[in-house]
Amino acid sequence: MKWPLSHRSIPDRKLSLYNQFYLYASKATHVDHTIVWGTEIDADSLHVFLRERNRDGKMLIMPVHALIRATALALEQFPELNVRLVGRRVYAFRDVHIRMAFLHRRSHEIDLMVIGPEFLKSLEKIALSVWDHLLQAGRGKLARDRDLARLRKFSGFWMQRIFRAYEFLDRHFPLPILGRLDVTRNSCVTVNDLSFSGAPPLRSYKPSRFPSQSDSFNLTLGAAEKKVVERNGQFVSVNVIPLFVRADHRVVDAYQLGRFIGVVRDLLNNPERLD
Amino acid sequence: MVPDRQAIEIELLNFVRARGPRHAAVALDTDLLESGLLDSLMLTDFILYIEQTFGVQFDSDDISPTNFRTISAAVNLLLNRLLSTAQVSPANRETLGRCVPT
Repeated sequence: MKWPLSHRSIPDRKLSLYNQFYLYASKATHVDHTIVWGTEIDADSLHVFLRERNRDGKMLIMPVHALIRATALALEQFPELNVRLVGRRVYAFRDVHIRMAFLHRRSHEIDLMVIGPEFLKSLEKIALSVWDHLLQAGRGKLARDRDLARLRKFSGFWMQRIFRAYEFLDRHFPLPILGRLDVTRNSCVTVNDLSFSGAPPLRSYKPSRFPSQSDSFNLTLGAAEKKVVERNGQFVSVNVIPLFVRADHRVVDAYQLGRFIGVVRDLLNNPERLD
Repeated sequence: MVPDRQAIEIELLNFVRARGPRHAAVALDTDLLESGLLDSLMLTDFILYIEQTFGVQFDSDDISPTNFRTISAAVNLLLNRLLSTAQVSPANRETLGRCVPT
């Protein structure tokens, strides 16, 4: 059993006024506290970097691994964003974990994995952790899968009640992590890679939010696309990767979010800084 | 018994070419990384397909650019794995081994 959150919530005086405005808004107002920010990454510099790393490297590194590393580094730089809501209180996570959505090849469903701080230290370790998880899932050998299979045995009636009861508790109390099923709550951010072959270009994307409110942020990568831009008075064709970020205005304002995305983007545009 | 190299190559080529129109022209020595044809979803499927078809298991350490840059490289990895686990006669091992760069 692990306690992912600090024992004490962040006092209101440390929250920005506008965050509190959203945080304490009456439910009757149906206030929308979602912020979505779309930007682009210079795919050419990232691809050159990955090509070099993959030339002689021991581990195959993909753009999403770079996004995970960049997000972890940005969260270390902005610890005030490594938080989640519990009720109407904001709690800081003790460590940086990154949650990643993936297509589970055995169950043909989207599932989540969590990359812990011990793996977030380098691109190679992140890649090792992600590949290992994807292969174990495809072989049906994830211990988490056995727990999910047990959960599926409950009828729809009981499943509904279990989810509701658990989500109520998670929304209102800083719960510990009990096992493999709820370990995905141990992160304020979800990373999504929608650049798979056959996916249409991303023009806008607002990922849904988990009912538990643990994912204060979501970062989604799309596939690289060609774009004509002006550089030094010349029109040139460059490759860009769309990046969409969804955030919760109750824990972050647009200025903080812009700085956070700026750091992620800067790291991906200058990927040698990921090392 | 270890299947011959050509049969493995045809099997893996067919799998990759069936991924879609962009993959239809893939050859044994097409650089899957440089051409941007290899994404994480495809690589996971590719590895799981090899494991199920040929009864081997790869470690996550095996997922290196060298081993999956081309289909030919993946065939080398697979043959090495099959040779290290199968009961192969010395003569047969010599024949197959010639196909596998060390």
